[in-house]
Amino acid sequence: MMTNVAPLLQFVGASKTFEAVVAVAPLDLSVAPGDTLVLIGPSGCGKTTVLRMALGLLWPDAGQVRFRGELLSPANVQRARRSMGYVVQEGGLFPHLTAGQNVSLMARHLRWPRARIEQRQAELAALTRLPISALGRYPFQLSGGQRQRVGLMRALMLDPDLLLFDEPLGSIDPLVRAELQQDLVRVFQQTAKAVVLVTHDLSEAAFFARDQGQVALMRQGRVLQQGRVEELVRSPADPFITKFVAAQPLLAFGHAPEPQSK
Amino acid sequence: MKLSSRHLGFIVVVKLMAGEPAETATARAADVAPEPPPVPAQPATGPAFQIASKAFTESVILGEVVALTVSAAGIAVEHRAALGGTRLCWDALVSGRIDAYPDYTGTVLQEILHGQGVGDVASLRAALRPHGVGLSGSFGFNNAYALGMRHARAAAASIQTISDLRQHPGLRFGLSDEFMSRRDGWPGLVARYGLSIVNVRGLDHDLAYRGLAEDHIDVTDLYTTDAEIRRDNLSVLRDDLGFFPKYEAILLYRLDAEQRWPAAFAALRNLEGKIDIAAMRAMNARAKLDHLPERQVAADFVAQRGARAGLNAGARPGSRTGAVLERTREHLTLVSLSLLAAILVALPLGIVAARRPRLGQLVLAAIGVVQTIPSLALLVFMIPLLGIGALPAMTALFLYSLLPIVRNTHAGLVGIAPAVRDSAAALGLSRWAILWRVELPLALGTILAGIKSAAVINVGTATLGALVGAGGFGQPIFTGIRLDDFPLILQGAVPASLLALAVQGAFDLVERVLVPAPLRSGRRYGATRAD
Repeated sequence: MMTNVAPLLQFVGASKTFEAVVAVAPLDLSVAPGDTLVLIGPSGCGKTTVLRMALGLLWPDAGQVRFRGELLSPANVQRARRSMGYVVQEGGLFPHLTAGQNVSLMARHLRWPRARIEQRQAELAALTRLPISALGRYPFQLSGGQRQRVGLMRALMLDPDLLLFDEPLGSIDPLVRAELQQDLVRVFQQTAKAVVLVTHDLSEAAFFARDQGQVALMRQGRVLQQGRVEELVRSPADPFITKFVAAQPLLAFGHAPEPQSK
Repeated sequence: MKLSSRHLGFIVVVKLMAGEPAETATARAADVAPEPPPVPAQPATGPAFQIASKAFTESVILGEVVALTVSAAGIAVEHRAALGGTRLCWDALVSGRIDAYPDYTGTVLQEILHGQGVGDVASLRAALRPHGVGLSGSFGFNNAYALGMRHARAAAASIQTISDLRQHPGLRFGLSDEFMSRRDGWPGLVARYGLSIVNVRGLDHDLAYRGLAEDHIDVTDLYTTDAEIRRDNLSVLRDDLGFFPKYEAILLYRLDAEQRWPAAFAALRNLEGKIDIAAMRAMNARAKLDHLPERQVAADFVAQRGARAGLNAGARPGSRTGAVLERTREHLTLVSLSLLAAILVALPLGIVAARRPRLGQLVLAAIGVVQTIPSLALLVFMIPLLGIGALPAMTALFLYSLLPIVRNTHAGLVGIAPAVRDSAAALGLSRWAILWRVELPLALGTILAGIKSAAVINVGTATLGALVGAGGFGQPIFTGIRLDDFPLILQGAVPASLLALAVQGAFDLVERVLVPAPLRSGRRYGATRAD
C-alpha cells in the first residue's frame, strides 16, 4: 500500500451501532488512489455497513469518514458520491429505465450534451464488453451478467475516483462469474481507480486482490487482520481466520495468489 | 326491500347508491326541473330573486308557480327546484341563500317552531318574525298528512279510521322516511292512537304507491293532494282523533326580500287563496302521472288564471340534445375540477406520508375517516359552509378523491425496493431528483391507478350533485325517481355509465403512454430478476 500518498477514503475510529448491536466497532481504514481493498467476512460482520458509511448512506455514530481529506457530511455527500461509483448485486438497476438510460441518468441530470453522453456510453460498453444493442433493453430483459456490466457502466459514467462493490457477483452462475471476474480486474487495471469490494468468498477476494490489493477480514464489526491474502493464510492473526480460510475449499482450485507471489 | 319488479329494483339500487337513509332532511330524492331551460330572467340589475322548493313534486310546482308569478312582475328570478327537505330549505332561507320557498303551516309549527305555539297563519307569522321570516296567506289548499290503504284491502278489514288500525297490528306499513322521523308524523301518531305496529319500514314516498299497488305493503302515509289517491283507488283513513295538524300551503320568505322586491310580493299576494285542493291535485297528476315538466304544469295554471301574456315563454321545453350536452358539461366540470384539485393535494400528501411513516399513518387515517361519511351526508354538511350549487358538490367529490390517490401514492412509493433507492442516492442525486427521476416514475403506475379509481368513482358520485343544485347526470336520474319515469332515469344513468367507461379507457391510454413497459402489468417495483 502506498502510504505516502494522501488517502482518498479514510475511516478514523468510525463506528456504527444498530439498536445495541455493534455493526462496526471503531474502525481505522485508509484507501489511496489506485488501491484495491477487499472486505471479507461472514454475513453480518459489518462489511456492507462500512461500504454504506463510505457512501454516506449511513452516518457513523462516532469517529469520522473522510473522502479526499474532507469530512463526509450531509452538506458535501452529494458531490462526493459523484466521485464514487457504487455497484451492488445484480447492479441495482432502475427497472423503469433501459440499460442505456440507467447508465446515462446522472449525466442527463447534469445536462451533459447528447454527443458526449453517447460517446462515453460507447467507450464504456467497449470497456465492459456489453453489446451496444443491450443498451436499448430494460433490465428485466438482460441476463444477470449483462445487468452487472450495465451496473458497472453506470458506476463508471462520471469517471469516479473510487469504485465501491457490494457482493457484485453474488447471484451469478459460476461460468459467467469467472468471466466477469476477469473483466472486472481488467477494468480496474485499465482505469487505475481505487476499489473497495465486499465479498464473503475468499477465492474471489484473492482474485481481486492478486496484484497489489489488500484483504481485510472482518468479524462482528472488527477487522481481525488486514494484509495480503497469503499473509492471512500463512500467518493468521486470529483462530477465526484459520477457521474461515479452512472453510473455503475453492481457494485451492480458484485463482489462488501463490503463483504470482512466488 | 321487498319491492320486487325489476324496474323497481333498479330505482331502489339508485336510491341506495344515493345513501338515501342517511339524512332525513334530504331523504326524498330530489332534482332540478328536468327539461326546460331556467326561468327566463329579466336582464338583472342585481342578484335575482332566489326561490327554492322542497324535494317533491308539489313543492316544485308551487315553486314554479311562484317563480313565474314573480318573473311576470318583471323581476329576475331563479328557482332552486327540489333543493332538499324542510331543514335544508329553512337553513338556506334564514342564512339568506334563498329568498322564499313554499311550505306548509303544520310543517312550520312542528319542524321549525318545534311545536311551540298555535298552528294558525297569524300566530305562525308572529312567531317567525323574529327570524326575519314572513309567512304568506294560504295558497288555498290544505295538504295534510293522512294514512292510505288500497280500497279493497281496507274494505276487507273494515278499516275506516286510524283507530281501526289498532285491531290489525300485523299490517305492513311502508312509510316515507321524513314521515317516520317527524314529530307530527309517525312517532306522534303512534303515541296518540296507541298503535303497536310491528312491520314498519321506511321507503320513498313515490315508491310507496307502487308498493301498495303491488301488494308489498298495506298502509302508507299520503299527502291529501296526492294525485295517486284517485288513480290507485286508495282509501284515506279518517283521522278520528284529530292528530294531524293542518298543512295549509304557504310561502315562507325573507322579510328583507319583501322590501327589496315589493312588486314581486304584490303579485304573489294575488296568488293567495287561488289554488284549491282540486287544482293542486290536478297539477300533481299532470306532473306525476302525465310526466309533464313542472314548469309547464305551473305555466299552464298561471296562464289559465289569465295572468299577463307571454308568461309561459319559459315553459317551452329545451331541445333534448341541448339538455344532454349541458348535463355532460356540468358533470365533466364537477368531476374534472374536483379531481384536479384532489391530485394537486393528494400527491404531495402521499409523498409526505411515504417519507414520514408516523405522519403518514395519521394522514391516511384522517382521509380514511372522510371516506366513511356517507356521500349524501357529506354533501349536506357542505351546504351551510358553501351554499348550494357546484361548489359544495365539487368539494365533496374532492374529499372523496383524496383517499385513493393518497393511498396509492403512498403504496407506490413505499413499495420501491430499498436497494433501488440506495442506488439512486449513491449516484449523487438530491432527494428531489431521486423523487422525480426514480421514485415517482416507479410509482407512476400505482399512482395512476389511484387517480383512475378516484375519477371513475367521482363520475358516479357526481350524480348526487343534483341534490344540491349542481346539475349533471344526476338531474334526470332523481327527477325520474321522483316522477317514477324510468326512461328519464336512463337519460341520466346511461350517460353516467358511459362517461365512467370513457374515463376508464382514457386512463388506460394515459397509462400506456406514460408508464414504461416493464412496470405496466403488475410487475414488482424494483425487481430486476428475470432469469
